[in-house]
Amino acid sequence: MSHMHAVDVLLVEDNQQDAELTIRSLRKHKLANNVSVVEDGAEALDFVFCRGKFEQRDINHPPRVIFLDLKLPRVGGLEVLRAIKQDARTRSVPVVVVTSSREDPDVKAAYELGANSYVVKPVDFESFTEAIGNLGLYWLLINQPPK
Amino acid sequence: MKVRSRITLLFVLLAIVPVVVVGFMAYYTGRQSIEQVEINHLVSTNLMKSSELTRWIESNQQRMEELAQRPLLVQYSDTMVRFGPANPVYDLSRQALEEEHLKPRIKPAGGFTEMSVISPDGGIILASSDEMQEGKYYSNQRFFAEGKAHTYTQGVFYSLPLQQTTMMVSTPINDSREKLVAVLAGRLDLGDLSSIMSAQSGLSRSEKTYLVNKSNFFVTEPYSGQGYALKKTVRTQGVQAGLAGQDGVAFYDDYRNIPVIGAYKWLPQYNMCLVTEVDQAEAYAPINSMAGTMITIVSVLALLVLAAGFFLARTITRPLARLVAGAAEIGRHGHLDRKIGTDARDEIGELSRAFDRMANELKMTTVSIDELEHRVHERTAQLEAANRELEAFSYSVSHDLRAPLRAIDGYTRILLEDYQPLLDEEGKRICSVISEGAHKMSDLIDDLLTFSRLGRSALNPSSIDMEAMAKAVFQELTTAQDRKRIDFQVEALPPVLADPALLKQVWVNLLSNSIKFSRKKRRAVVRVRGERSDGEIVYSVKDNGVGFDMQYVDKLFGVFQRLHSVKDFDGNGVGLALVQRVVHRHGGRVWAEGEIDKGATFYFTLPAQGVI
Repeated sequence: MSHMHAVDVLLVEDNQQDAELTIRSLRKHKLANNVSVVEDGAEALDFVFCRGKFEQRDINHPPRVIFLDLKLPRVGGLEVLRAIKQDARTRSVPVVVVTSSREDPDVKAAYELGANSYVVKPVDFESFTEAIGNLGLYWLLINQPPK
Repeated sequence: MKVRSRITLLFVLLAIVPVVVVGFMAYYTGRQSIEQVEINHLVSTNLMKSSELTRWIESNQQRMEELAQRPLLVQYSDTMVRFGPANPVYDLSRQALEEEHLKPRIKPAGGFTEMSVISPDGGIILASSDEMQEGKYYSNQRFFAEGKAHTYTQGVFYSLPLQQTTMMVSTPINDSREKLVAVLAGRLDLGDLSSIMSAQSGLSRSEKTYLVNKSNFFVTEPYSGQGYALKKTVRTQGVQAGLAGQDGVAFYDDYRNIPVIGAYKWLPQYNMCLVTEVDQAEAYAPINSMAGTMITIVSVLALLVLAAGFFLARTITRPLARLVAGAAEIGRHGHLDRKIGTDARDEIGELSRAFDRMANELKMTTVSIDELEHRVHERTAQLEAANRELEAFSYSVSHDLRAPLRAIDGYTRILLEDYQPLLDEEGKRICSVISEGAHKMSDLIDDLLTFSRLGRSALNPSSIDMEAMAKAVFQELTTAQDRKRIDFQVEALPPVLADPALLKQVWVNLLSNSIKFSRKKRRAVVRVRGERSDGEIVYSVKDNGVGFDMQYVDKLFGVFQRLHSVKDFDGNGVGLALVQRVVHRHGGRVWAEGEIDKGATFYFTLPAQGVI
């Protein structure tokens, strides 16, 4: 496993502050070794399917978990989710939908498309840190991906 | 059967049947009376003819008797009989007899065709108007035998000596001592008889009277000049009946095979049958011609009535047919613009106009219904669009307003964590105020979203045990310590049909308010009641808390409206607005009563029958 290709967490988040807070939370739980951040859906797809500026990536080494915001510029979160879950090579990658709102009309659609989890980002920083930490712990350490 | 056909038929029946019946009865009665008249006429003709016949014969007999009594005739006859032909007196007497007595009686001067004097012993003709007959014998003739004793008329027979048919009258010639001298015989002219018989009464042209003898031979000509007499036989029904000795009237075919009415009469004294006949065709001519006229009239009448009936039926059924066609068009195709249109002032016209009015009103109703439906569609679409926009807005608000708040809180924490040594107490306090503000705003956003969601989501009503729900909510809202301080009284609450999730929000808000505003009382009392009244159930929550000024009761249920400072009582002013919204959505009402420092009572009603 090339160090360069080994990515534990792909964070798809257009809000840079949220991204920073997420990474800080992961770091607090010592889970931020290999976190990649992309800012929109198109970039996320390029990353996952090793296209464009992520050409050199190996599709056979996908991220161990993807934190996906639904509200993204260019290509929406649901589109990204659908593409990942429809492709046999990427289908088994866990996708955790992380969004600001429990009002999101796309929650149901997200589950139907095969989202593995759905988390509302709390406003309170402590709760936020805890939630992100738990997610990281669960998907990176407890969850056993298929071999 | 169509109305038109029925009316036409009815017309024809009404008009024709009585005419036909009356006509037939008139015809029948007329025929009967004509028959009666005809029969009477025929019978009387027969009687008249037979008496004429008798009179004719009797008058000839009288003439013969008168002649036979003449002394000269007796004397001459006597001389001839007594002296015989050898004696010259015989011829003289014969000549005298013939010239002076017999010949003058012969036609055209007299009424006989021949007249003879016959010797009583041998039946020899002594003298005759026809000299060719002298010396011939009449000894075997009946009229001779009878004539010796009395005047006798022998009916028509065939005379061998004469070699022709004849009719003879005989009478004895007696002397003054009534001793038979000779027989006087006279041959009657059958032509005369024919004339008498065939003389017509003048009533009808076809009437004929004739005599038939025992051997079925015509005795007289049925019509003059036909040469039937004693040459042709006749065996018609009337003749046969007459020859069988009967008198009567019958309907039958005569010798010409023409239907006649015939009266027959047997004349025993002459061994003949008297028949008078008239052609049925002529007898019935008047009634038949009347019948013909009647048939013509009936036919013409029938045609006229048929035409009139047809026309009338058409005037009745044509508007009906238009009505039917109009109704069919409206019914099948919904062409409500279709008008029957009529000026007729009768019932059908009335019906047609009523129909038009109905169609018009229907059209207007349909138009307004269509319009309403259209509007409803439009409004629904607008509402749906508004709802979608509102949802999108809510999502945006919750999503986009929370992200900066998270940043505020998050970075404040980072400041506190990473730069703690650089901050004094005041800096730390400011940081916590920033955090608190962020939290508060986050709560406000959540409440607003809940409030807006309540107005939009569909109701899911089910039966709710309100008493159990109120108790459970109170339990959730309070700690054991709270419950010691608060006297919570719940009366038996009527159950209701409503959305449980929303109703729970109502209880949460009302009970938390009561708990909150009675917090400063040492002994708080919260009392929950419910009772049916007038088709609705009135629930109330009463507390003995701080209460409120009734002056501001209007503002109680508004969003973000508060009557107390946040310093005294926390909360963001959404709770009662939410209560009002839920209750209104269920078709109920909310109101409140209160007094400062005495407590407040909040009421809400729900329809007893359930959700509207």
